[in-house]
Amino acid sequence: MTMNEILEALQETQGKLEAARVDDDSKLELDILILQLRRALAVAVFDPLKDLDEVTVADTSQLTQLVREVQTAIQNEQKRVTLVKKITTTAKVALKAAGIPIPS
Amino acid sequence: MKKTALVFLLSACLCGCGTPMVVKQLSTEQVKTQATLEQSLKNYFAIIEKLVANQVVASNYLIDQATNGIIEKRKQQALKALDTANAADRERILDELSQQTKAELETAAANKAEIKLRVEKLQTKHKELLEAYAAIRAAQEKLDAYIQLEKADEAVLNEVIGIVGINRQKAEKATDDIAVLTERLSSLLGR
Repeated sequence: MTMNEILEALQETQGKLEAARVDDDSKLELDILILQLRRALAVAVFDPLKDLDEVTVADTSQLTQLVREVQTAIQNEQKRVTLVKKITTTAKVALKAAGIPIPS
Repeated sequence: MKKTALVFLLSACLCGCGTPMVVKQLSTEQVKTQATLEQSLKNYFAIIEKLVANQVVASNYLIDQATNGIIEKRKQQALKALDTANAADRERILDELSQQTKAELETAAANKAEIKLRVEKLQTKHKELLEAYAAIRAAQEKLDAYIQLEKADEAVLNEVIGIVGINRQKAEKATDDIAVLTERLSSLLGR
């Protein structure tokens, strides 16, 4: 039986007691019980959030480390490219000096 | 001289023409898509948090309403009891009412605190998820930076092409044609 079903059953009983004009201490206890249950329901709305602890988030610590390493690889590659361009520039100068035409 | 250069050029193309354009395009799109999705997730989580914040207001109101109702009913019980009570009982009844009222108010405060704690957990989880996704996007961006980078072998090829004076696209087309011809030849020989 869910909390809602219990509340409905209690409210039904409360209705019957009111219709019968019962106004003793047990009726007051029933009223209090219903109010306590309503209050518990207002909290229970958030119960699904209890399961959040079981929701795991992907561990990205390795990614952060590897990003730094890739950055180093990029810088190394840029240095290699700079070197290649220096070599080819020198080669172009040499070819020009040897009288070999280089298209611009 | 030109013949030697062409042979060298084709060899270089066959060895590696750098990152294919389609790979670079995919990588660029991947980064764009991830950035868009990250923004969508931020907006989505913000909406969820607003919804939950409204629910908190509603629940707190219900808790207060129920608590006030309970206290009122306890007062009614006490008043009924006081009607028939002697002096000693009166003090006990009033003490009980005071304790019950205090207990109800404490329960209401505890309930609100519990709700607040659960909502904070939700917000923390959202934050963790967004941080993880931001790290994934950052990693993808770094990979993209590497993919888009002109590699040393590509630089060699571009420079050689520049020296020989051949259009890069034509050179790549030539290597593609060679690949197709090789495949056809292989299938013919296979028969």
